[in-house]
Amino acid sequence: MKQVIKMRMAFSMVLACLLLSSCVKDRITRTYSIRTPIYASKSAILAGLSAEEPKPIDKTGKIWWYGNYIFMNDPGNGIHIINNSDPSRPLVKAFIKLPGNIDIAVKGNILYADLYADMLAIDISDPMNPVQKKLVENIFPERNYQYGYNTNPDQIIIGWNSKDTIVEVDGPINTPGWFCVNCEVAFSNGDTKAGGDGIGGSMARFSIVNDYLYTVSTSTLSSFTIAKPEDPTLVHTNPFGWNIETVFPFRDKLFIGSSSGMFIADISNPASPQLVGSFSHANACDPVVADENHAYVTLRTGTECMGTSNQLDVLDITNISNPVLLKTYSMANPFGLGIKGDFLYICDGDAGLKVFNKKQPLNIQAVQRVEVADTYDVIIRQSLLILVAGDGLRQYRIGDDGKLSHLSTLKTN
Amino acid sequence: MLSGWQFVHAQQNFKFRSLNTVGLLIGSSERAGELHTVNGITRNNWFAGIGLGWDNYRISSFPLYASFAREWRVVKNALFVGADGGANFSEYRPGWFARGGVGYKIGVGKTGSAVLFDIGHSFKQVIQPRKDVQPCVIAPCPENIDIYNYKLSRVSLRMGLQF
Repeated sequence: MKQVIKMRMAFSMVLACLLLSSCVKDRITRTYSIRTPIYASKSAILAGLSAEEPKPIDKTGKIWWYGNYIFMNDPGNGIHIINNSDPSRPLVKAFIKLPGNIDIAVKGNILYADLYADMLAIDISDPMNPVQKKLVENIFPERNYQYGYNTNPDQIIIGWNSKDTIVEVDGPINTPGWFCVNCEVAFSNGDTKAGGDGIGGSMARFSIVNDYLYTVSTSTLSSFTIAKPEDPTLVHTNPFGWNIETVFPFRDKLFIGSSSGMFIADISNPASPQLVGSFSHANACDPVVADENHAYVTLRTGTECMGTSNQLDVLDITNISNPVLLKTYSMANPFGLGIKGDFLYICDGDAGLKVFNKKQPLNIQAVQRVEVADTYDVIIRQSLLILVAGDGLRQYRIGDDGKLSHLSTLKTN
Repeated sequence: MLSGWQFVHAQQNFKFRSLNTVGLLIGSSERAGELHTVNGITRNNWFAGIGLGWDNYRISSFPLYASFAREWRVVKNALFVGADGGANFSEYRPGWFARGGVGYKIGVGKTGSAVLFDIGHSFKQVIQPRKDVQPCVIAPCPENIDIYNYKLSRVSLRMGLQF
């Protein structure tokens, strides 16, 4: 009898629960952060410009390869200086704190870096004691606007206060949000890039050709003479439509990637680039590299890209004023790319770093796929390839067959 | 400390059981299927085992859990009450899994095999980090990592076989 009573109680409890409507409810909460900016005076930031002790790499950013050093931006925070004398053992030597910094370039002992809308020329003869040489103001006016907040000539954002908030939501679990793998990262590149002693990646907005520094804002190509490296002087601006993303130099041309196409500017007269050709494509992010007769453009989808294509376009640029699309190859989510002889190296997002033989541009052959997540861009010099990925800075030796062998990884924090 | 006789006797009282079920999950969003296998030991109307399942409600996941049950025999058949608790694995972060239910076994043959019918309440949690990057004119675009915490409660109807 006692057993029967217990059994009835157990059954009653379970059945009662089943009858309650709350037992079949999907409860979904979203935890998100509300961020508000922390301001500091620009003059105080510039006065306090200094190199700090090496610090862990929070996030990989744009890189510039100069001599035995790699300069790597930590997006929005500053620049890591890495001694790369031994590519198998790169050493982080110092960190220059520079709020709002995204792009960098180096010539001689001068580092050019953006500080939100402004550009700084910094003497890094002694990397541990950087000295500001010049401030060029409001070169990138669109960057006065950060995450919905305005900077101004006197106050800049040096950090963010974050407060977690939890709200109840209702929605399908697999609805992808606006998603872009490391949208903020773009670099400079290329074995063939005419960047003096320094090399950037294919996604850079800064580029150096001999005594000229070229920068792109969203709508303008700006030309600076850096004959005196410590004194960059604006000599020319070209309006180039809208949504310019990258600039890549090859010989006497600049290949300018925008979200709607590729522009080619002639820099025979380096002080005054002239638009000589263009190629329009569907809206997408599009870094570009080039060799003698061909340009290679990767198109990808992503937040700021507003596009729907993930592909590699091969263009015939024999007639520079009239680039012609030869062939399109499907990709996963390609970012930066680089060229070394007959080989093409493409960062295909989470699909890894892909190596192709491009000897026959109409029949590009896959050679190797290096499985690395979140690949962004490469810099190639001679037989060394530097890859920037989400998990850090990787270096590879390039074999005669184009294949890569791993040398080192400088991990993010 | 068990004597030799007691130890052998105790071993004889433990029996291996495998419970394999298919089911239907009915929640506020949808109806979905589930598959489970629970393997363990039974003694004196009590059962304890380890379960592994596939739960296709809203997002496919794999619960791994401890399972306990008590049964009341009615000739060859039995009424039972069970409770499960453990972790729920999916493509996102692991969450919790729990289930309580009542059911009826219809004995088949003399080896303890039976056909099971079970109704219960099933809960699973999925924690989904989602990176949202807001559209902007020039990178870096505003980026947030939001955490979506899904606590999904369903009615679970199962049937299966016990060996």
